[in-house]
Amino acid sequence: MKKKEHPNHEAAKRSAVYALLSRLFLKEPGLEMIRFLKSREVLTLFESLDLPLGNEILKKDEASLIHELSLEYARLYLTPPSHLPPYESFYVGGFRDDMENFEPSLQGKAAVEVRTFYHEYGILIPEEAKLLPDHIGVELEALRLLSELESQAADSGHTDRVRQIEGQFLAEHPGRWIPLFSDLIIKKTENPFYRAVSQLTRAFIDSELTELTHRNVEEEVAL
Amino acid sequence: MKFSRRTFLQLGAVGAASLGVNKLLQTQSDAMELIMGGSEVSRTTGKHLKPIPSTCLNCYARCGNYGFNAYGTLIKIGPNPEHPNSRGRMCAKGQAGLNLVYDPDRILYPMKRVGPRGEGKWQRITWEEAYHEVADRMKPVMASGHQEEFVFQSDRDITTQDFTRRFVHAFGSPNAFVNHPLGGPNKQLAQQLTWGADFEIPDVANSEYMLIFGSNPFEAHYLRTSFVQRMVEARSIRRFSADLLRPKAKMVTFDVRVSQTSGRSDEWHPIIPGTDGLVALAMCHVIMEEGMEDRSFINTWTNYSPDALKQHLKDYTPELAEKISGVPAKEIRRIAKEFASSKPSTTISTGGVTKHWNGVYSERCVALLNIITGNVDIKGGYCLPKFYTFKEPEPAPPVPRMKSKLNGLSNYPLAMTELHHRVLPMIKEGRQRIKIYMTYQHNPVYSNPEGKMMELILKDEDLIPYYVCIDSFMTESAALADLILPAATYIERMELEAPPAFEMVPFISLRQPMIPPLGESVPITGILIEMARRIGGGMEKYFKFDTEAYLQERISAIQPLVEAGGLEYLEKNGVFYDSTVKPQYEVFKEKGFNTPSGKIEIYSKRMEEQGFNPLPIYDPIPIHQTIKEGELYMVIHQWMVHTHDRTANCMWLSEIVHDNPVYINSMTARKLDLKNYDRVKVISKAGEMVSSVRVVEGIHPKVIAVGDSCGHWGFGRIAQAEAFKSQDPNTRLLWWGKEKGGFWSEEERDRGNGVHPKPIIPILSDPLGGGQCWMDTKVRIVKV
Repeated sequence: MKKKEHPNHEAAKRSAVYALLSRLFLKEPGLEMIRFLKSREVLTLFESLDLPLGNEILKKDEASLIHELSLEYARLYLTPPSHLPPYESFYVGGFRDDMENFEPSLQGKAAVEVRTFYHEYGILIPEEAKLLPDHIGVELEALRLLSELESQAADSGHTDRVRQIEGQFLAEHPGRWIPLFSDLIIKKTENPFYRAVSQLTRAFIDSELTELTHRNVEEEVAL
Repeated sequence: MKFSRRTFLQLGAVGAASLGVNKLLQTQSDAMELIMGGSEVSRTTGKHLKPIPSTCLNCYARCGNYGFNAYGTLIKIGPNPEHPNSRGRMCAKGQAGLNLVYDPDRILYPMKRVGPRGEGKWQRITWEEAYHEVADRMKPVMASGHQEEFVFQSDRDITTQDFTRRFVHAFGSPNAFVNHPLGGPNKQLAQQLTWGADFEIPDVANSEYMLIFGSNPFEAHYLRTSFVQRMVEARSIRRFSADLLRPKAKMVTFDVRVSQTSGRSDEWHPIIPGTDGLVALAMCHVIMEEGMEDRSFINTWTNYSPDALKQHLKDYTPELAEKISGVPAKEIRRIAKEFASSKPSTTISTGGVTKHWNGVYSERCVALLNIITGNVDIKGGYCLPKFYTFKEPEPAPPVPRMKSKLNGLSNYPLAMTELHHRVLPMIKEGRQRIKIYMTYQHNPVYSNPEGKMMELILKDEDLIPYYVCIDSFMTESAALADLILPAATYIERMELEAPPAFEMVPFISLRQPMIPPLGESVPITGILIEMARRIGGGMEKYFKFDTEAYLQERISAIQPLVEAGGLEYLEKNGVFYDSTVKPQYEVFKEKGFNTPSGKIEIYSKRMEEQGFNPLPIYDPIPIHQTIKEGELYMVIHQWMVHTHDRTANCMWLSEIVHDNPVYINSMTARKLDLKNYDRVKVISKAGEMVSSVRVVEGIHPKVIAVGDSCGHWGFGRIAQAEAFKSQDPNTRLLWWGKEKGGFWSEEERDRGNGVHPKPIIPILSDPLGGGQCWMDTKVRIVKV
């Protein structure tokens, strides 16, 4: 049995991972992101995760890499006919979500539920961000915020309560579609960077589900 | 491959410890980080739905609607019972606006082309960059003094055409192709020449007899729901009028096929395409011969004498009409007499009459029936449209002195609307070198005749050096653009509408956002205002307003509305009409008709001056005269649930209509050895298409009919009947999804997304109105 890290620190780290993932889905990687990913520590980590991201990033010059990644970003997440809309509603059904009446849609029932959840806990999406509440990046960002709150909650003794809320949100929303979405992206893209991002996302969400919702999944998640 | 949780967390540690992911987000996240809200956060249950009154634009009828929001999400669009035209009725298209606004295939960010045109490689850019880029392209064109090298085109933009024209004129270019009269250019010209209005409003609610030529209002009239509900009312309710009880109205339809309207008429008469005008003239002949005409009306309110008219009609006998149109002379006589004796009566005529080579002449012939029977602008008759006009805010840009070389009007001296379908071909012919081609909700590759040619032109970077496409969707044409600017849909915009009033009391209807524009999309007015400011060079002085101030100014001359509270009143109520105004009939008695003579011009000097026959005549369609054995006429038709090129990606609508077989008469099918579901190739001068046939009785043996709006190859997934690549079992419920090659057997009927007939329709214009002849395609059919 591995020694559990102090939950406080763990939550802060989880928050950082969510921040990274959220940022990767919300925006095309810029120079700073590329340099961050190129740093020795991160590359070592990706290597130990068996994700071939490092080599690809090292080979190309920064400007052309940024350009190439922005095209793939648009192809995967933004423009028909190639894109997979990165919104929960699109994957879990529209308003009438019974089997007979599936309506692929933006702002479906899932978006309303997610927005309700945000409202309930006083989380606001800045209007100027012009983002829908069930965008993958926004949901991950919500988890970033929640785990950050968890890390701060230890002093007041509310850690369990915050974790419970995190677990509930994770299970009801990101957990029910991000694995599917990640798999679809992995199937769709040849780009090692976006494959790695999706693999990482999928694995991390699976791992989080196990940890937070005590789902009966082994700690080591095999893909 | 194995991931361990510990490694993930190390990733977090690395981020926090070394470079700092959090820091990264703070500097680059574009204010994305979620923040904790204060006490002002609403915790409403969402159970109370507040209706937002607005105006539909999923077709041109522009009915009143209500949007219902919960948690910032539009969850339903319903009808507004206060709207004087639509009176609480709403069609499928209106309700499916929800599909349109939340279409997962929408473009939500400005996208810039990367790589060869049409290859499908895009890069997201910011609005700032997009405006910069457009301004950098536009400024040199303005500075060069050749502003005409900027061309702007929009499709069926009935609402913002004044605004887009203002933009193009302010820039200094005459090439604004934005004019879109209801019913098309041929109808507009015929009506204008005859009585000085763009179109007629048949007052069907009060009619006793509706005589329909080439029109299918139950499915496709340009004022659909408002119009058809009154037709149905007249057909189903005995109405008290003045002091007598009116009978239910009779409805007689001439059409090449049994449309929804023909099928619900008392009588359907199949007719050879393009001969409606002749049948109408033969009826006029009968009415005059029988002395059933309204002589005093003709004498007082037209510029032609009854005797001269009778002389002109002498040769248009029912027998001649029978020979050419196939309608029995006996029927023509009977219907003519019924029409003349059932006052008030009215005709209804749209595309089946006007979208032919002889569209203008034929429309004038149909109008003549109403004129000689004195049914003009009377209750229950053939009425002048009643509507408010808006003011153009001052200062208005001057109309550029230079004449456009691309509007096509030099060959069509009488035409009042630019020849939209010819703009791109004329660029190809080299009539005008252009530098920038900008479109708004215009998809020429799909909507124009000979679409393949349009595609080649748009792909040619010598002809079209820079193509800016303002649209909400990735259309067949947008895919060829250099820059796509995401436009807000009609559900997210603010606009004013003044459709013609069926209650004969003009009204104004406001379209207002039901939700804020999704993603980074921006309403067209907002885009153009910002562009004008960036381009500058003097054009910015015509755009010193925001959208609301512009609209406020537009209605500033309508005194009763200003007194009621102006825009604020409209925002609250959705519609405005002056309750002191009585229904307006026979308005010509006060001001005459808006023609040079002030009368109805049966004899048109303007036509004569340009070398056309000044009288309503039957003008045989040349291409029809050369039709050979084995050749057929192909006509296209609209669907109740679709609006041309814009609705096929709406799930609810495409579930109802998604494919469009070739309808063929059983006699013809026997001759060609065709059975139901047989696969056929339809060949025209412009190209060929493959579809499957449906053998029916209700179509003229010399005609095949194919529906519009289907067969998209580059719109959204639903429009292309692509089952989603999702593992979610629900997504497989797009049950009509197609495999490559389509479905051709009876078991698999109704599958796939059909074919699009417009690419095989040759470019051809009515020599008077210039409108495209959609119904004059000669085809051969081969079994494959």
